[in-house]
Amino acid sequence: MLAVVNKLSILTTYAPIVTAVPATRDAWVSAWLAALLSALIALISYSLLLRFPGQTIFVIARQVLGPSPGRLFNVALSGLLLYFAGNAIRAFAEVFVTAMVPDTPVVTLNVMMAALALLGALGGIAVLTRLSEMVGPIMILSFLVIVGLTSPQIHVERLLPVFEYGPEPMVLQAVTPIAVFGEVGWTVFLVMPYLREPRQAKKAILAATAISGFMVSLGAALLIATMGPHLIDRELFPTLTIARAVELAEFLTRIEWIVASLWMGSMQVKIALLLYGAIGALRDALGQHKGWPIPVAVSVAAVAWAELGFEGPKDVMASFDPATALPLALLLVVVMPGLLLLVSLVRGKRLSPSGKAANHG
Amino acid sequence: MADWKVPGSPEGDALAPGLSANLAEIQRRFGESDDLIVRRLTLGIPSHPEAAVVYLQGAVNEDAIARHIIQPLTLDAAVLAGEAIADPLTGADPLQRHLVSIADSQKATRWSELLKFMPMGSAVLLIDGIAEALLLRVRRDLDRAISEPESASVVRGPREGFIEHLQSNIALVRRRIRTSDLRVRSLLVGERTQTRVAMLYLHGVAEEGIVQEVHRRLSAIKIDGVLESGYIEEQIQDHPYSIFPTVRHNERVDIVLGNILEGRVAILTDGTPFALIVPATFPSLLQVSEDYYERWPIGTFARWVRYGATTISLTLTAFYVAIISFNQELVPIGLLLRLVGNRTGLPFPALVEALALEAAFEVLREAGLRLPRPIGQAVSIVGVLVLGEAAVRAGVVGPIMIIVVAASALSSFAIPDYSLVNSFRIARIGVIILAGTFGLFGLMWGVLFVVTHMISLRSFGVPYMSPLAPTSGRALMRDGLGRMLWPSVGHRPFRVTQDRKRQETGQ
Repeated sequence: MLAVVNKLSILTTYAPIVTAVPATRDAWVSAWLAALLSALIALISYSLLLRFPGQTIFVIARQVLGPSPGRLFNVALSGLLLYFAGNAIRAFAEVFVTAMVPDTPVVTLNVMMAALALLGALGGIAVLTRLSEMVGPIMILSFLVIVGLTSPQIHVERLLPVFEYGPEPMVLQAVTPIAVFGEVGWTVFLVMPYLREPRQAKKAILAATAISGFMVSLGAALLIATMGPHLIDRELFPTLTIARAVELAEFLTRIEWIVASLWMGSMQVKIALLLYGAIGALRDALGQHKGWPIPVAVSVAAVAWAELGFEGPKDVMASFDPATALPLALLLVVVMPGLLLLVSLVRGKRLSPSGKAANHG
Repeated sequence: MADWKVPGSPEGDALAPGLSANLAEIQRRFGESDDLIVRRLTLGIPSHPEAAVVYLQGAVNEDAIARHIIQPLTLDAAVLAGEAIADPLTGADPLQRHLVSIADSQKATRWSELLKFMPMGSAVLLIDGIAEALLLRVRRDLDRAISEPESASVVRGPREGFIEHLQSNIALVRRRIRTSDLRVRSLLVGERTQTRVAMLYLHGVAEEGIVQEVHRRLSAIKIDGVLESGYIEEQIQDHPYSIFPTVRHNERVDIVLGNILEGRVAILTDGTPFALIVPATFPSLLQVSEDYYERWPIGTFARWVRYGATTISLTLTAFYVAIISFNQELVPIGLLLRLVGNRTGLPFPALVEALALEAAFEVLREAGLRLPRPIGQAVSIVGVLVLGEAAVRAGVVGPIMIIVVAASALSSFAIPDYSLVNSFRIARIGVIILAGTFGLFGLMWGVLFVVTHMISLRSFGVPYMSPLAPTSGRALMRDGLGRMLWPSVGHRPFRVTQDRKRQETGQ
C-alpha cells in the first residue's frame, strides 16, 4: 500500500506532465506502459536486496563498494533524494497556491508540507506503511466515488481513436511518468529489509504496479473522456477542474477540496519517504544514527531547495520535463541500484548466513 | 504477605536478641509516634519469656490482635507447653506454627522488613532472647460497598465497579474468571507510600512479552508516593509527551474482565477504583462493554456513531471557522446567505469567536466538575442557557457558532474514554487555530498531523491504531469498526494475545 499511495501522488499532476506531446488522448495507455516499465525497474532493487537480506541500501553500499566509497555513495544518494523531495514539496505548494489558496505564500506551504513529511519520516517505515494503509483505501474509494459522480459528463467517444498518432508518441508520453512510477523501486529499497518474507516483495511490486497503473490509467481516461484531450492541454490541473464540476443534489459541490485532501495525504507519504531516505543516507555517511540535527537539517535543506530552486509554476512544471526529470530519476532507481548489483555480482559479494557481508566469488 | 517484593536490606539492620533493645530501637525508628502501641506480655509457657506485640494503631484490627495473637500467646500457650512447644524457646517458629492463628504471617530478622510491613497493617511479635520477629498481618481494611461507577454508567450490563481496596478488587475479578490461568503478580510501588499494585492476566492468553514488559516497567518506577493509578500510568506509558492516552483506565469490573479475556494485562492499584489496562489501542478506547451486551447491529451502529462523533469533535468547529473565514465557495449559496446573515454586525472574526466560546465551554466544564453536583448542574445550566442566549442577543457571538461549538462539545462526550475526550479537546483547539489561519488547508494539515502522530504511537509494542493501521480487515470487521455475531468474534485481538482463538466457531 505504501508503494500504491506513493504512486497515486501522481494522480493530480499526471495530466499536465503527459500533455507535452500530441497524443494526449492515449495518456491512459501510457500510464500502463509506465507502470509496466517501473515494475521492471523495481526488480533491479529487488534482486539486489535478495543478495543482502535484512540490509538497508545504505549498509549495502558500504559493504559492496567499501567503507569510504560507500559513504560517498550515500552522500550522493542523500543529495538526490533531497532534490526530489524539494521538487515534490514545491510542486505541492504550487498546486495549492494556484488552485486552492492563492493568498497563502508559497514558503508557508513549503514549510508546512516539509514539517508534515518530517513527522512521518521520523516515525520510520512502520509509520509510513501504516499511514499508507489508512490513506490508501480512502484515496482509492474516494477516487472511485468521484469517477461515479462525474459519470454523467463522461463521453467515452473522446477516448477514440486509440493510437491515432502511432505507438511512438505514446511511448514518449510514458517516459516522464516512469520517473514517478519508478519510485516503487525506491519504496522497495526502504521496505524490503524489514519484510519477514523478502521474496514476497516481488508479489507486492506487481500488485502495487497493477493497482496504481489501473488507478492512474482510469484517472487519465476519466479526464480525457470528460474534458476531451484539447481542453486538458489548456488546463493546468484538470483533475481539480473536474472535481470542481461535480454537483450532487445541489448541495454537495466543490469537492475539489476532497481531491486536494487526498492528494495532500499521498504527497505527505511520498515526501516523507524521500526525506526518510535522505536522512538515513546522511546518517549512515556521517555515522550519526540518532538525534535531531540531521533530520532537521535535511528538512530545512529540502525546504530551501523548494523555495529557492524555482521561480514559479512554470519552473515547477519544467522539472517534470523528460529531459530534466528522467536522467535523475533513472539515476536514482536504475543506475544506483544497478551499480550496486553489478559490483556485488562482479565481486561476488552477498550476505553470509552469519549476517556479515562475505565474498562468495 | 510473602508475595510482596522486599528490597535488599542494608547491612547492620539485624534485630537484636534482647527485647528491651529492640523496643527501644523501634521507638527510636518511629520517632516516639503516638500511634505506635507496644503491648508487653508474658508468654504462658514455663520459662515465662517476655514478649511484646507492637503495632501502629489505626493500621491494624485491634480485635484480631486480641483474639488471635495475645489470647493464644498468654492463655493457650499454657495448654500446649511441653507438648508442641519446646521449652525454652529457641525461635519464633513454634509460636507461628502452634499458637498464632493469623493466616498471613512470616518471620523477619531485619528492621527494614519491620519498617516496611508495619505501616501496611502488620503487627510485630518480639520475643526476649530471640533475634527474630513474627510479622502478623492484621490489616484493618476500610471497605466501602461495591456500587455502580459514576464515571462509566451503562443502560444494560452489570452495575459493579471497583473500590479502593485492592484485595476486594482482585476478588471481584477472581469471582468472575474462575480459572487457574488467572495470574496475579503483585509488587510495592512508592518509596514512602509502599502502595500495593497487582498485575492480573490470563496465563497462556496474554502475550508473555507484554506481561514481562509490564512487570519490568512497574518494577522500574521510582516515585515517592502513589495516590492514584494515574501516577503509575504516567510512569509506564510509551509516549509521555503525547496528548493521547496509551494506557486505558476504567473502574468498571466488566470492562477489565473483558480486556483480561482478550489477553490484555490489568493493573490494579491499592487506594483507587481505577484499573489500568494495557496495551491500549485507539479503537479499543472507543469500545464500551454495552457493544457486546446489545445485539450486534446495535453494537456496530453505536461504534459507528462514536467514530463519527470523534471526527466531528475534532473537525466541526474548525471546518465552520475555515468556511466562514476563507472557503465560502464550498457552501451552497442558500446556506451561505443564511450564514452571512447571522454573522452580520458581529465584532469578532470567526476564529476569535470560536476560541472564546471554546474557552467559555472549558471554564463551564471545569466549574461544573469541581463544584458539588447540584451546584455544578446549576452552573452548567446558567452557563449554557443564560450566557449563551445573552451573548447572542448582545451581538457578541453568532447563534450558528454556538450551535457548532455545542455540537462539537456534545460529540466529544460520545467518546467513552475520558482521557481520550481530553486529548481531542486539546487537539481540537490546535485544529481550530490552523483552520482560522490557513482555511481548509490548515484543517487538512492539522488532521493529517494528528492522524500521523496517532499512527506513530505504540502501547507496549502494539501499534496504537491497530487494527485500523496496520490494517487487519478481518479484525476490523469482526470486532473493530463494527461487531459481528459472537461466533464470528471468536478471535481475540491479534498483537495483544498469544492465543487468538477464544472458542471453537459456532460454540
